[in-house]
Amino acid sequence: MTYRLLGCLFVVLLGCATSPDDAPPGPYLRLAERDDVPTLDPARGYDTVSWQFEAMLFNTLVDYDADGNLQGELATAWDVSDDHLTYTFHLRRDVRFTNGRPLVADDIRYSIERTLNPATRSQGAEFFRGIRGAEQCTAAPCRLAGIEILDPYTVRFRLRQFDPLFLHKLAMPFAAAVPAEEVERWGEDFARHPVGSGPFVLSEWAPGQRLQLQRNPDYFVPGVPRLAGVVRLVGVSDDLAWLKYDAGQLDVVASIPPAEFARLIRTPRYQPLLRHVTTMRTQYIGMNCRLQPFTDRRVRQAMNFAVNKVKLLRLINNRGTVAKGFVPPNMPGANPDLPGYPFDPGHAQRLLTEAGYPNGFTTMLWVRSADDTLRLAQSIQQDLADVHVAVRIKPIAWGPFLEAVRSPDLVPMFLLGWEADFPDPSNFLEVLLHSKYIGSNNDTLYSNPEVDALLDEAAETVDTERRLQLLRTVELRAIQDAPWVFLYHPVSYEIVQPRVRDFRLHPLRPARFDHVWLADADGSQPPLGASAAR
Amino acid sequence: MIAFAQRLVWTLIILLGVTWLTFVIAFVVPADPARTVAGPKADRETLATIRKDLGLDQPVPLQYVRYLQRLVHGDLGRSYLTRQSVLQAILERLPATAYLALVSLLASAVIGAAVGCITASRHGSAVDLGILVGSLVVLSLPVFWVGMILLYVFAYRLRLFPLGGFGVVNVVLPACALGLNGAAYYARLVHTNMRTVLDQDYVRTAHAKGLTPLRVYGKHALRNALIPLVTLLGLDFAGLMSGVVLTETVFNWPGLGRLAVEAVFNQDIPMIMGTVLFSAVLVVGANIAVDLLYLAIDPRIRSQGR
Amino acid sequence: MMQRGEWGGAYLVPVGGAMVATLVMVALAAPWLAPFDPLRAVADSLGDPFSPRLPFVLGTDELGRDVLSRLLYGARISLLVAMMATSLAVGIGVTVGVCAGYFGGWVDSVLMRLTDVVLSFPALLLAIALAALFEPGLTSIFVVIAVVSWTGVARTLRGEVLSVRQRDFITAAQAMGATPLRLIARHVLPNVLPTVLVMGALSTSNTVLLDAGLSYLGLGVPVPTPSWGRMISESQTYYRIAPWLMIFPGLAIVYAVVAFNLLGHGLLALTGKRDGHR
Repeated sequence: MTYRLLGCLFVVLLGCATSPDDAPPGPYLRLAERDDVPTLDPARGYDTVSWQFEAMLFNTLVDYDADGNLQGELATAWDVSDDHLTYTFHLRRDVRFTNGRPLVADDIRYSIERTLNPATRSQGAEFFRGIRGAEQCTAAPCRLAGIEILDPYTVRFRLRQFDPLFLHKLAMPFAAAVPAEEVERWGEDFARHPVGSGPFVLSEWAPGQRLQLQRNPDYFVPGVPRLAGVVRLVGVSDDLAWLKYDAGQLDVVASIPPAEFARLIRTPRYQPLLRHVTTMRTQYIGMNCRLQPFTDRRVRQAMNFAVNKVKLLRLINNRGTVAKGFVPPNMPGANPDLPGYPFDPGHAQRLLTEAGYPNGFTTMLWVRSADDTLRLAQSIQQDLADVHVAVRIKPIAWGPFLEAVRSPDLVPMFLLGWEADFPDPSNFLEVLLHSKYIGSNNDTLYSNPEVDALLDEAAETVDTERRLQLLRTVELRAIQDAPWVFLYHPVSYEIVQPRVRDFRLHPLRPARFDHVWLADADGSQPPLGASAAR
Repeated sequence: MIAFAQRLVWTLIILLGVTWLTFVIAFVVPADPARTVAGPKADRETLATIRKDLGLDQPVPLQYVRYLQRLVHGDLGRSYLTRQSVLQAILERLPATAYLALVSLLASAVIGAAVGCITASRHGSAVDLGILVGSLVVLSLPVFWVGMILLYVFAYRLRLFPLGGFGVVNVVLPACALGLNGAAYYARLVHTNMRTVLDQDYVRTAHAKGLTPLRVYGKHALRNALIPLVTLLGLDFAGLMSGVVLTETVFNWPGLGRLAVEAVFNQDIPMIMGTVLFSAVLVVGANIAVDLLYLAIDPRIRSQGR
Repeated sequence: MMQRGEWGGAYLVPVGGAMVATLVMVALAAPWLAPFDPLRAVADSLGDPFSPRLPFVLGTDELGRDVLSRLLYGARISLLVAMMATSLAVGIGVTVGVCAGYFGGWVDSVLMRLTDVVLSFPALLLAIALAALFEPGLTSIFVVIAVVSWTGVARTLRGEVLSVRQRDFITAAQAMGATPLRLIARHVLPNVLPTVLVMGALSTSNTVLLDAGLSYLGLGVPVPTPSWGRMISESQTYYRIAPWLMIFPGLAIVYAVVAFNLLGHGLLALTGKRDGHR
């Protein structure tokens, strides 16, 4: 009896264990990651993975080109009024959702109202509150007075106040066009059964195992996409992904294991296959400006002089550049001449003595529990020990970590990063430094009335040059106040197979697949129509 | 039969004890049990609702009764992260762990029997001491370290097996790592039993009569070697579960052990307590099953406190 | 499983004893034996660990720290945790076992069922649950490990006490009006002492393994204190180019556990007592 049971179990498991390495025929781009895609609902996703796939399934009015400039996607052209409060978009007429229906202006309105709708629980709602009528959107469903449909292919937005970032906000997946009838039909499950107008269509999603996209043959850009589809395996660790890549089973590896990276960078064979981009991200140590001893600016500055940032970079195989301030140097409008804080433990010691801590002090550094962050934390701990600051490291999981950092009196120091949502310095400086964002993203509880005033003035300045000038002043002031220890800006490295062509990384958004193609052995592009026959 | 009925009653009492201990750890000891159930992000209204639902303002014995009621209905709570029912998450991962555990028991039996038989054919107390020391050394190996070495040598260097993850072939390396402990115990058992058997008169007579070693071994010795197999199965199911936790982490095997470790990592208290309770129930179940097997195979065996 | 005095097991005592003694001496002398500070970067091997070479006899890790020094200091931590946890576990186990064996009746029943209940929980799983619920730190590690390890001691001690209790001199002392406490302290405990030592040694080998497992999962002593299990888990990122980072801490753990195991089994053979269920 036991044998029969065992036998049955074996057969069942045999059947269940579909080999995950079977890629469908045709030029499919093969990816693999450890974690599954959280969601494919553009109103819900707020992480790089969800955004990468939402960008492939949906379209927005405008989008970034390969160099980070805004260009029209669903919109062919747009007009901005002189007072910068009215935006009128003219839509393409040849866009269809993958259920066959043509995309019209009303879909844009529906999608934005859906994002603002509290029932959707979208984290993108805050970005569209500047549209007139948004404050009435407290209950489902809402009609925004500020969105007008002039004709089936023209939509007009009216804002309550000037917003230099409004176009960028329309490039976020939160503003992606979704078909109302499909959203209503699927309800909560729309995240698993997305229907959009993008270059790809979801063809299969086995949760925890694989996600597969297929090309949309009716996409409005001719000749795009140049792939038959994309396959993404789940549950594959970084090490395993690298080995699969080396064995030719994967096309792209996004997180190259540190152990391999040092070798790769020196091996000529791999160099042409590496792609890298400096991200618009800053890694930092936040110090709670309301907890002793970090209430004293000199102590915070001392921390900046005490940490050896070049050493930190070596720990991450030099995949980064030292940060001299808040805003990454490749951000449009960034200040190229930031002073930063060089490594100078002697100066740090002097500052600490001046502040009344000649023998240092004890404190706790909260970090996310992961091997890489713990390694960085230990290096920082060593550096601070050299100026007699005894740091205890507290590793904690991501969820509880964010909760704790938001509680005002709990966390004295924490290791975190901030990534830009828009290519504009205010996305760093205002959100992280204005006192009105304490309790939200201003985790250091930094409050400087002078800085607040400058930020408020910048928010209302229409002239770009003047606005950027104000922001530069803000940054210099805040660097002096040093609520952060400025660590580094990560450089993202990915590696591709030789057959992968036109794969480019983007500083602000995840890599897109619509222009990528896979070369045959002789270097030519295989015909996509024949893929089914293979 | 009476002894069996007695055993059954004791088992039920132990099961109750297990639920009581889990209840105490989860609800009596923490400072704010409602928060441990709801998670760090819950707001005040959710906490109040949970307090009422769980009856946390009532005396402890009443709380325990309500806890038992929930258990009987299969309600082990919901995970903080995924909002999925804990019981459902456990049942989803159970087949993978069961598969790994079964194959590892098989590995233990095969490796242990092989080693035990081979060494039994040699005489001498030096060999016996060697088996003892050898099995002690094997039992001293940390299972996660063995797993990592197996991965490095057989999966990475020799490319004979896949590098972790779930699959039919992928089970070989983790099963070997997990089964090594059992193999060491089993090898000693088989060795002792075989030696005893081989020293007996009828075997010597068979030898003298000229029967080939194969027949001698095959018929008599092997049958006697199988009886302790039952002992092996029930020997240390709890230990097997502990080993599973580490093995699944090293090999990225999607089973109960990994579920528990991820829950601990995310401080997902309902999931942690759910897996702990579930595995304890499995252990109790396995023990009573082994007792049944014993009685079925040889009613004369009465083990006293194993 | 093991018959009395068989297989010349007594030979294991000097071997095991010597291994344990060496381990203890090395742990005590670590500050003098270690060539470098285990917490500082002493080599320029950031992100690129050095293989064994002079002066880094066992190589360095990815933070530039000397592996040998970390191993030696790790011995202190492992031994400290193991011995504290075992003492506590033996303390609890002896108390429970002696009470159960001596008083018998319902005390015995209740205590033995309690032991069975705790035994039903897989030790590591219960330990990680407790460690997750309560703040991990040096003190709570001892307690957590002790709480999951006392059962074997209790069971064995109970058996021992049961057999000692039958003996004539106990009945005689009882007839003379000795209180239970006096009887236990004067007559029972000294007679079970050899078993306690055996269980102590065997338990220590278990607690070292349990502590290594907890550290591997990240629930042991806090970073950057070197701990063997943690060193193995940290080695996972680099093990393909730096396998020594994984091998040496593992060998250290094996050495320590084997040492206590040999000592324990040797004492077992020497005293001829029956091996309790672990």
